[in-house]
Amino acid sequence: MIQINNISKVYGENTVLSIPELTIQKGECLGLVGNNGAGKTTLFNSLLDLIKPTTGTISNKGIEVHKSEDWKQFTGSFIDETFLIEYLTPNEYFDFIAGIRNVSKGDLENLLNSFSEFFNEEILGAKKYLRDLSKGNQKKVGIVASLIGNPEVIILDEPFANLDPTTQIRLKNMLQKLVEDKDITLLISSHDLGHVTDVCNRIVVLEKGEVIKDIITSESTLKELETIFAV
Amino acid sequence: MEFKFLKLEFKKFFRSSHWQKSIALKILMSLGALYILALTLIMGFGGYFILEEFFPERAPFSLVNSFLWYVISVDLLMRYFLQKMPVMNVKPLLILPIKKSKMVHYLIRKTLFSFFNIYAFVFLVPFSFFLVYKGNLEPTQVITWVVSILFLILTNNSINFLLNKNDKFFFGLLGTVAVLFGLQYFQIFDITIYSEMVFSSFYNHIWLITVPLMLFIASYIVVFKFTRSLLYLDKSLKKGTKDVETTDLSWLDRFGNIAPFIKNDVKLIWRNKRPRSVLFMSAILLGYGLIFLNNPRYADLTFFNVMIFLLMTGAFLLNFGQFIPAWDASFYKMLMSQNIKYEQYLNSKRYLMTMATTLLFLLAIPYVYFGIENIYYLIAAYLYNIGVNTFALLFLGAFNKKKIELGKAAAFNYQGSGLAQWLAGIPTFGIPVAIVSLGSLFGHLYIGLGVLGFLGVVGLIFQKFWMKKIAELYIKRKYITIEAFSN
Repeated sequence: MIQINNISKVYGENTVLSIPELTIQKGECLGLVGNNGAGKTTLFNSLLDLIKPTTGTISNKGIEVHKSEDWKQFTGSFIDETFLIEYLTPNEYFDFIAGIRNVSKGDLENLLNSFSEFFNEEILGAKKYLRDLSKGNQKKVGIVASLIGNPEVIILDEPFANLDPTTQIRLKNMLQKLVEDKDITLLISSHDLGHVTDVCNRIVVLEKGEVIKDIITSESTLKELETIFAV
Repeated sequence: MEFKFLKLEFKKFFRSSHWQKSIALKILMSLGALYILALTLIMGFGGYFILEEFFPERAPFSLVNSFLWYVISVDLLMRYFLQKMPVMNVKPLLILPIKKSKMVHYLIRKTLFSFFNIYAFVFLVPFSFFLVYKGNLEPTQVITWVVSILFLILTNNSINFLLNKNDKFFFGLLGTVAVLFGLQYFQIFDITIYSEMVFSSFYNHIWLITVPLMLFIASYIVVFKFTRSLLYLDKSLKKGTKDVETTDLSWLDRFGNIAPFIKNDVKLIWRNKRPRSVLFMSAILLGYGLIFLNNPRYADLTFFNVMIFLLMTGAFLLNFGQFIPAWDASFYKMLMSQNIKYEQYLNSKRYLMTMATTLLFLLAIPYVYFGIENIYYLIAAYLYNIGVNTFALLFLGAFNKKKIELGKAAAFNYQGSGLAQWLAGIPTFGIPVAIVSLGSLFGHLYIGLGVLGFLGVVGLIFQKFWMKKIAELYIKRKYITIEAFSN
């Protein structure tokens, strides 16, 4: 589904990302872990064509992301709260995204209703601007908005951060359900090794911009990851 | 401690992301303030003689007293617009072992060094010198008079601090001043008589100085207590949230695939301070015609008339268009990851500007009352605005690298202004004025106006082509813009 060839990002003399080759299969859930500055967000931003890599190419379902914009039709993403429009209410924001993605009012409503438990009655119909929501609730809005329009590729940067324990568990269940659907390719990054190994069937560890570990999740994965990050 | 606060602010200023521009602006504004202070000083020296010259029948001292009421109230009104409230990022300091009273004193004292508290001093000191030597007034009493007024000015400082841009108070005061001035103008009620009584009493009875002094001290204490009570996270530091009224904009759905953007832009303009001021600016600019078209002095200045009509019909277009796409800076990354075509996005902006321009065009039609030839100006300016200026501003927008924070106030806010905004003046005003001037030089006014209208129509005919070219340019500069907006 996603093919990364030889990409690198260099700022001055600093190489922040350097991946010779990485292929992500359709239906795979890839968990990206690594300490701060390992290059997780840089990789995601390159996947979304928000920054231009110094070298290399990325193709999404055969479409080179820097050349054509057609991959946007089937790619949903949430990187950080700058993806939100601060002066809209949650519902208006969902409407806006649905309008862009040509999702009908009814379909949007069905989708949002299926997340009513996840939203915990704090978001749908709230008469508040997004800028006035708590960080956790903002995140919920962003994650659900990335699912509007039945995307085939979903990219979430640290979806578990800032969420309360209950919501973290709900999100985990939600993501696991997405993974069961073999048509969806999911890419998430996380600092929570437990959650990410629970959800993803493949884990990639980044360090200083390089892939130092690429493992298929098994019983021993969590232990293995803990040894990598233990100092 | 105060020194440490100053050091913090110093760093904040020089390390902010656009300090070069703010330092240029600060220098410019300081020069302006110095210039006004210099004028005030000259007035302080010359004022006495000027008053004597123009109003020989009245003593300058009583004249000044009778108008001091206006000075004090206008001072307060001016502060509302121009005086900056002290800002300090106190949140990180609250948990440190610093006495809150120290922070508050520092904040209030900082405002005392404002231009608005200095100018009166600069004027009154030389002026009182002449009151003593030329007007033969008692020196000690003049001193108490001066000090009284200075305390009143400082009390204004506190009042402004307390009201902190309260619109109701401002318009109430503005209304009062206007009504009293009107009553005086039509000789119904003369406030100046009472003004003179009050202010000359500070000279006649020196013990009255205690009144302004007490006012100042009392207001300082109130400001102090008020500000101190705000130093809690749930008070001023965290802004209160009101329930949001949502309006149904589904009538805009007829615009098809650009409807989501137009609806979003309407909300952007209505719900945020800075873009909302664009609307008020447009209303004010529409009124320009009343001042200039009615005035025979400008009747023959064709180039000037062209400017007026371009401004009136293009008020929204120019104010909104010059900052495209910086309005969307805060969520630009998201837009770029969405399944949208750049042309769609840019077209939504163009439709919005065209609609607003058309509305302003319709509203400006009554100006025909001042002369039938105005309709030609109006049509030419309208066509040029929608056919040339919209595209010119969208084109220049591709080079916008300054983001805009939507919540910041608009007056004297130059955030987002850069070279692109200055360059925009060439196609939007320079070229049409040149065309019309040349047209009337070599023949007739209508030639120039005809050319303007023709250019506008040509622009509209080739709109698809322009939009495609402009969109290509935006795509080429996409990464630069994203990076600039995310800083």
